Amino acid sequence: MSPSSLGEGGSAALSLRNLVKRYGKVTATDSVSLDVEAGEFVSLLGPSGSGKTTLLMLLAGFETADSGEIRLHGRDISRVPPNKRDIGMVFQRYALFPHMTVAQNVAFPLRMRGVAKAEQERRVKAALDMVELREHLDRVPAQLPGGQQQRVALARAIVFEPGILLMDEPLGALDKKLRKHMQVELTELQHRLKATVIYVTHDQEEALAMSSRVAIINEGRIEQLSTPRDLYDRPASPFVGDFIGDINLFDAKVEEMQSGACAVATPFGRLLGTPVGPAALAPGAAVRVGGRPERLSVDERPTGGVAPAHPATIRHTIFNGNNVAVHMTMADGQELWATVSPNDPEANLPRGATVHVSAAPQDVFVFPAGAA
Amino acid sequence: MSERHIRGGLSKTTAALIALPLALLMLVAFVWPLVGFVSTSVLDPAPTLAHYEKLFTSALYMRVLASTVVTAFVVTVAALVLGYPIAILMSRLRGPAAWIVTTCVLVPLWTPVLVRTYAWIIILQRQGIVNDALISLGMIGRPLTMLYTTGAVVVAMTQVLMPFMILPIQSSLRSIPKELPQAAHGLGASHFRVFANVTWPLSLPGVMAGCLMVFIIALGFYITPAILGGPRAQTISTLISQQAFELLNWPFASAISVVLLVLTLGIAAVFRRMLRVEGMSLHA
Repeated sequence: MSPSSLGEGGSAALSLRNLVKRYGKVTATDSVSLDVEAGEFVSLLGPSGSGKTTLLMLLAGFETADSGEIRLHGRDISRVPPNKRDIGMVFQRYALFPHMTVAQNVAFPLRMRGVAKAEQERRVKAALDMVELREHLDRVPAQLPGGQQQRVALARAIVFEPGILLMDEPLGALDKKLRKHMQVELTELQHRLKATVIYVTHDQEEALAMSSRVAIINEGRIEQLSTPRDLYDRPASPFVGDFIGDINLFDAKVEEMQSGACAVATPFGRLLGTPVGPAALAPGAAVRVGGRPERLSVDERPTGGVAPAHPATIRHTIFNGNNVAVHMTMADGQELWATVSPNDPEANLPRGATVHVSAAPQDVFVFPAGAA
Repeated sequence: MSERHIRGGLSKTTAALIALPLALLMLVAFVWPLVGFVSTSVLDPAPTLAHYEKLFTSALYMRVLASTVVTAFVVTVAALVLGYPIAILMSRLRGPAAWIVTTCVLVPLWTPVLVRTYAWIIILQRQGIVNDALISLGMIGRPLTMLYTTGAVVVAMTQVLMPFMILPIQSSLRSIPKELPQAAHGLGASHFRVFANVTWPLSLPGVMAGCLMVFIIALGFYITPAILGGPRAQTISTLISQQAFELLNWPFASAISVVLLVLTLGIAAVFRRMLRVEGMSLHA
């Protein structure tokens, strides 16, 4: 977890406190609190309908929160109209003005702020240099390819040096190859500018690749806010585990608590795992158990390690190039996925072969039941 | 996408066959009379330009021509000023409210022009609603003469032609992606500057189309000026009708018709060019 700046609102570039937005009976934003340090790249990641776009609209000021507070560099902007918020925004479909040239588009925020003509020109050039767009300044956006339109939108959002940059799936309209390229460029630009960025996406790969921290949004709440690595290695809930990367999930019961670990009973046998969250688990409590496919050990013979191993039958294997996915059925019918290296002997086992599955206790997450 | 696809999967022959009845109808009901009155205007009784000379040298006829153009212009501007806010309203409303406003705009379009024009007589006559209201409020002592004036014609024509202004503007406002005004607002523009810098310029194709339609229809409008306009509020179309049906001067009526047609085509051409320029910067 990153250092929390709770109670010292002055230090955060952006600080949200108990933000609530309802549409009729639907709570689109459910008491969201979030602190973003200056220079951080924070992604809001969630499935569609999770409320991430509403949160962004609240930040930009196109929607007004029912309650709660938004502070930008210490200034309360919860009730400030969008044009006075000092926020640069990049839209999903660029939202470039089709009747203005590239230069006029980028100059727009400066013109609205009454910046002198000569100064406008200088800053427009500097901003376009920043995004490495030095030609076609007198063309209209429709004459440029998608990647260049994206650069123009970016230049327009940074040219007035806003306190924070909001990006709403800005790479969503680009093809996959260009998207990878722009991801690298965006992060480099963000470092050069030392900009604070809030980035909305539903693409987990993109969020993991670019962000210093990721907020997983689900049903209007921040389910977990952490570094990409931490989200993957220590998901706070089955939802996060499932949303970031692949995971095997199944129901179990707590058998016994040990120091730092707990033993759970599953229909196919006993497992050792690590409890997730602060709540203490009592023996007999219903839990969800999760394990990453690549952290499962699949062996032809039991290895005799500390972790309990359980027999499984191979249903089929899928060759993915850099790994092989093994689909197995446990004794009780529970299905599990594991990935192994293509060089492992287990990668070439035939359908119906019996193997032994085990996992180290730190790789078995035990989530309290009731968590999403 | 193949050409076949664009044309809805019809071959050229099939498409031509389907279009044939309409083409024939246009030939009989439009092209033939057109040729007829153009030739009448220069060939009756012998090859001559006398009818045109008469038109262009008469101060009276030129005044009617000029006042028709001015009336059409005033009607166009009035319809734009009054119609634009309604178009904005229509483009923003959703659900039942949008349905109600749209109906209010469309119902007049489905009502015969004659009925709407007679309604204006009831409103504007000496013992009409407007005069009664003004007198009972004590703002005027005696009823005003509103009927049979150019003013009455302008007011009624504006109302009659309003849907032709509202609908194209509304459709062009609807085609503006909602992120554009949002982006402008977020980048520092006040609501007014969002309108001036983004919404208005992007709605210009609709504005142009609406103005063109209203102006051209207004130029040749007959029923409303004929009923609501007095003898002093003559327009080109009432003049044509008078020449053709009262004075039976068909060659002269034809000559005026040709002038009206040329005027209309000329204006349409100018607008087309302006539309193309606008369209380029939008959709190139």
